[in-house]
Amino acid sequence: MSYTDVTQKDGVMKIEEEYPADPALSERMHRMFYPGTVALIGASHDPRKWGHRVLHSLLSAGFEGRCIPVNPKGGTILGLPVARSIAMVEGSVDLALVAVPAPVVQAAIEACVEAEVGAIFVITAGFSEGDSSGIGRRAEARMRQTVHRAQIPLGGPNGQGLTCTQARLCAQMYPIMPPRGGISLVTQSGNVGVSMSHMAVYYNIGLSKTISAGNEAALTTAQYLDFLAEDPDTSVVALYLEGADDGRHLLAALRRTSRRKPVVMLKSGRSDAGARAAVSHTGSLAGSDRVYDAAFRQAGVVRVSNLEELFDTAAGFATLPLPRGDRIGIITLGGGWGVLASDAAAAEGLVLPVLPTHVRAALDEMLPARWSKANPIDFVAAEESDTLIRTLDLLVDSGAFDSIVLLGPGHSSLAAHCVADSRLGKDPMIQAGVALLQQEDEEKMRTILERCDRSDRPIVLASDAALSGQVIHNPAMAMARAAGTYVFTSPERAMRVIRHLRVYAAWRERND
Amino acid sequence: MDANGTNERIRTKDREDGKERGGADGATVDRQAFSDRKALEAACREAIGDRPAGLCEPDVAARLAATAGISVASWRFVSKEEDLAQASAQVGYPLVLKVASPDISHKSDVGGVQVGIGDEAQLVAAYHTMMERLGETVPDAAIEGVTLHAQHRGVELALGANRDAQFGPVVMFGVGGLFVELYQDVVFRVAPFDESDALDALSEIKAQALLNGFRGLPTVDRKAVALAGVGLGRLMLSCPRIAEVDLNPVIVSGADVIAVDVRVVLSN
Repeated sequence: MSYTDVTQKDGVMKIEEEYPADPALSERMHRMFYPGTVALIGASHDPRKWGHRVLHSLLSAGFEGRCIPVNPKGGTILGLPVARSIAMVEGSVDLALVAVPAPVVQAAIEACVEAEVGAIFVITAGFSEGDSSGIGRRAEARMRQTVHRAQIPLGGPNGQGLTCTQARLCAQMYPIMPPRGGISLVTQSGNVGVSMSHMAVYYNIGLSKTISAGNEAALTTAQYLDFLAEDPDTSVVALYLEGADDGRHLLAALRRTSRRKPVVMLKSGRSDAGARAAVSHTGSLAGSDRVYDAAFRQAGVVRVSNLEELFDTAAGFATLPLPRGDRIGIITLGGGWGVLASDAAAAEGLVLPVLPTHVRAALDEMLPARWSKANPIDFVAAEESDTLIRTLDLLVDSGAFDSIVLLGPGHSSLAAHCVADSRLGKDPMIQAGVALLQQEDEEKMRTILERCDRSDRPIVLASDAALSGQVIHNPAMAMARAAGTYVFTSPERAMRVIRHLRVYAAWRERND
Repeated sequence: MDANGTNERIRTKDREDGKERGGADGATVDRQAFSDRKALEAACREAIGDRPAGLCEPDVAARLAATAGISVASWRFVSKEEDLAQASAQVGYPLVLKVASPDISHKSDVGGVQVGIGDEAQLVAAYHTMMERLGETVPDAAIEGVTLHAQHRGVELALGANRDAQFGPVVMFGVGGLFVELYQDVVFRVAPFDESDALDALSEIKAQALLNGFRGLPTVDRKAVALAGVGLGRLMLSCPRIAEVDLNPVIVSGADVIAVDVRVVLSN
C-alpha cells in the first residue's frame, strides 16, 4: 500500500494507518526471545570461531532451556551432544541461530524452514554490507522470500545476535548478561549493544533485550519496535540507527511505540546535514539528517548525541518518574556544583524558581547563617546529618518544583576513603572516625533512596562519586547501585536527561 | 470562504490564448472541499494537465498552492511595457515587480525583483532599471515579461515541500525571505501530519520572537500557518507529480497567510 492509497478521513491521514502493526508477527517473534529450545547451526570446537563462542555465551549466561549444537560432524561440544542436522533435533526448535559460512547460509535457512523452527537469527556476515556487486542484496532477498512463505521471523544476517535477560538468553558471541530490567535496545551495530550491556552491568541498570538487527534482510528495526511496544518486559526502548530503507514504516512504528513507552534514539550521520542537488530552497535545506530529526520529533522520540547520553537517558526513563513541568530545585553540597548545575539547567531550557517564602523561612531556622538563601540551596559544606533529608522533604512537599536534583551524594564516603587511604590511615582513632563517617553516609543514602522511591516526582542524584563508585570503597554509592538507582556522574548529564524526560512527558500529554 | 461569503476555490482572470495570465485575487480557498482527497487529486490533475517535468509556470503553481488551501497574493503577467498601468490598477499599490523568465530560477539573485513600488511613475522606472540590470546579469535569458504582485505587510515566513528518499513527502516551515538559506531556521515534518504536529514544528523555529509580534510586526496566527502546512502535505500526498514546492515568502499577518512567490517543480 502506498501513501497515495490511504483513505483520508476528516481531512487528516495517519501514517500509522499506512503501515499498521502486525500483531501476528509480534506473536511469532515471542519464540525468538523466550525460546524453550535453541539450536546453533554451525557449532564449532574451535574457540576462535563464532560457532563456539555463541554456544559458550548461551551456556555461561545460564540459559535454562535446551541448547543444541548442530554440526554434520556430530560428537560433543562444551559437553553438549551435537545434532548432525536441524532435521535430526528431537522436538521443536524455537530459535535457530545460524553461524555457518555465508555460501551455505541459504541452505541452512531452508533446512530450518523444513524443520519448522519458530524463528531464525543469522549471525553470519558477508552479505549486502560493503557489497557493491548486488550479490549480497540478492542473497538477502532470497532469505526474505524463503521465510516469508513459511511465516518465520528471521533476524540478521550480519547481526551480533540477541539477548533477553528475562529468558536468561545470551544468543550472541559476546558473553555478557546484564542485570534484569526494562530497557530494550535495537541496534544496527552489534558493538553498541555490547557497550550498553557493559554500562548496564557497571551501573547495575536493568536491561530486557538487546537486538542486533544486522542487515535487516527480513525483520526490520520497525518490526522489532512494534514487538517491543507490546512486550510487557520492556518499559523503555533504546535505539541505535544508522539508516532506514523505509523511513515511513519506521516513523509509523516509532509513533506507535512512543504512545506506549519512551523511545530514545541515537542516530548517527548528523554530519549528513548537507544539501543535495535540488531546484528549490526547500530541497536544498532538506538534508537527510534534518528529515530524520523531523520524523523523530513527530514521533515523540527523544534523540541523543552519543552512547553515554543514550545510556543516561534510557536509565533515567527506567528509574525516574516523568516530571510534570520544567521547575528544578537544586540541593548542593558545594558551591561550584550548584553553579554548574544552574548553567546546565538554563542550557536545557529548565527553570530554577525562587524558593517559596515558607521554605526559605524553614531553611533559615535549620541551616547555618551562611547558606545560599536561594535555589540552588548550598549547604556550604556545613551539613548536619538530618538537615539534608529535611531540606529534601521541604522541597518535595512544597510542590514548587517538578524535579529535585541532589548534587554530591556519596562524597562523605569518598572523603572518608581518602582519610583511610592516607599516611595516618592506620591510626585506630582515625579508623574509628572513618567508619563513623561512612556509616553516617550510608544511613543518609538509605533515607535518600527511600525518598527517591516514594516520590512521584523525580529526585535526581548527580555525583562524580559515581565515577569511582566501583573502584574505590564507597558504601553509600554501593548502596545506591545495589538499589538500582542511577546516580548521574555530572550535573550536566542529569539536567540533559531531565530535559529529555520532560520533552517526552509533554509529547505524551499532547498525544494521549 | 472569502469576505463576500462565496466559496470560490480560486479566481483566474485574463485568459489569453488558453493561458492564464494572473489571478488569485484575495486568493480565496475552500478548505472543506479539499479535505476530500478525490477532489484534491482531480483539481491537481486539472491544474497540471500534461505539462512536462520541470519548473511550473507561475499561474499553474498558484493554482496548485490554492488547491492546498494556501492563499496566493493577486498578481498579473505583463509582456509589454504599455500594459503595466492597466495591470497595476488591477493588482493595486504597493506592489512587487518580478521578472518572468523560464531561465531564471532565483530572481532576486540577478536583480529580477523590486519591492515597495508605490505608484505608476515608480513602476515604469523600476521596469526600466530591471531590464537594464538583467541585460548585464543574465544577457542570455529569455525574458517573457514581468509579473506584478500585490505587496502585503506582515511576517515573512517560508513554507515548502519536498520528497525524501526514505520518508517520502516532507513539508518545511521556517523563517522566509531572501536569507532563508543563510539562516536555515527551518524545520520539517513528514506528511501526513495534523495541526498539532504542525504547531509543534512552528514551536521548533528558533526565531520565536518573530512569531510573537516582533518590533511592531503583526502577530502570527500559528494555527493558520499550521493549517497551510497541513494542506501542503496533503497536496504532496495527493499529487505524486509534484516534486518540490517553495512558498517564499509567505506573508503572515494575523490569520492571513498569503504566499507571494510560489514555485512548483514537477517530476515525470
